[in-house]
Amino acid sequence: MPHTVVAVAIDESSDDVRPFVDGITFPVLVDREHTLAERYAISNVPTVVLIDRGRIAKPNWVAFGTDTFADFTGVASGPQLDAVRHWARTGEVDVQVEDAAAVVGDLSDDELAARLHFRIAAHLRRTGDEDGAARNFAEAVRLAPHDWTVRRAAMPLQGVSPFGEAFMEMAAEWEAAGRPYHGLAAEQRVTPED
Amino acid sequence: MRLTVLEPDLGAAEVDAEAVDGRLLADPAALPGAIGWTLKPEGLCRAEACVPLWDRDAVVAPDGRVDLLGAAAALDRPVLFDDASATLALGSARADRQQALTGRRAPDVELPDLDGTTHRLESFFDRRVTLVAFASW
Repeated sequence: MPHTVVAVAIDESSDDVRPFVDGITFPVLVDREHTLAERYAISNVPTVVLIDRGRIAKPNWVAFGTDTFADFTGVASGPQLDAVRHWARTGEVDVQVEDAAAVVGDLSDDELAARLHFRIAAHLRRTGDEDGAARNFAEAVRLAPHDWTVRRAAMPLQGVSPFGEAFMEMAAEWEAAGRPYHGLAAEQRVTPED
Repeated sequence: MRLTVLEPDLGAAEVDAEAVDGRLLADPAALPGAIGWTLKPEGLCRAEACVPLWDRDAVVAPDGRVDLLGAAAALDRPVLFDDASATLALGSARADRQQALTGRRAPDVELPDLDGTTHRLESFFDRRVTLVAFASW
């Protein structure tokens, strides 16, 4: 059974993505409207989903391909790369998940509304309505303060560094809220029973 | 008023609509271009699929115009109207996400690559896929 990586950038434009994909041969797609994020309940990046001929073999989890942020996230890349390599070769996954809904909580009404405000804000920004964009970005962040695809993704679109003070503030609030995430958090991962 | 309708698969469309009693009424002829569905006697239809309208009055006004908010609700899609900018945004059907969460069937999505060529995620489902969502931020 052949295998492929499909990478999807939750980003505003191809130009944001190009610096990261030099030399990459698998498909790289751009999800400007956050449609993938909405349909898979993805609330942060990187999020990986393993799909076996259309069936979700392993639902959303935080997987890092490098150790660049390991000190901050506490997630080492080695075991995850091994798991993905093993999956690519054999189709076997390292968790037994019978019901994906049990690990990937559905988006709440507020989170859904936040994503619609984000979509409106991004559109208004493109059409030059800065005030309308700012108003809708603010409402999106108010409704989903711990959703990185909303709050952090809005930072560069508002001229705010997504690696600066605003990011640290969000990270602290997210930490205090118990690191909410739609998927298997690193510390929740279980080893399959033999 | 001139309304901008944002639909994740169709992009932005301009529609003439009138706000009446909390409804956004538009000519049914504008519906396919705005949200991808057509009003028919059997309900809201797209390709071979039809969603029956159990409460037709909640979607279609007496004068025959269709309420965009009611249509979105009938399709089980989250919807948000930003009055100040006259922009209406529709989300994906909740069923798309439920199929992933409770049915473990991977939802399809059509997205462009860096050159603008669109791909359906489903077109990769003849093999194993490691789907990686990432971002520049």
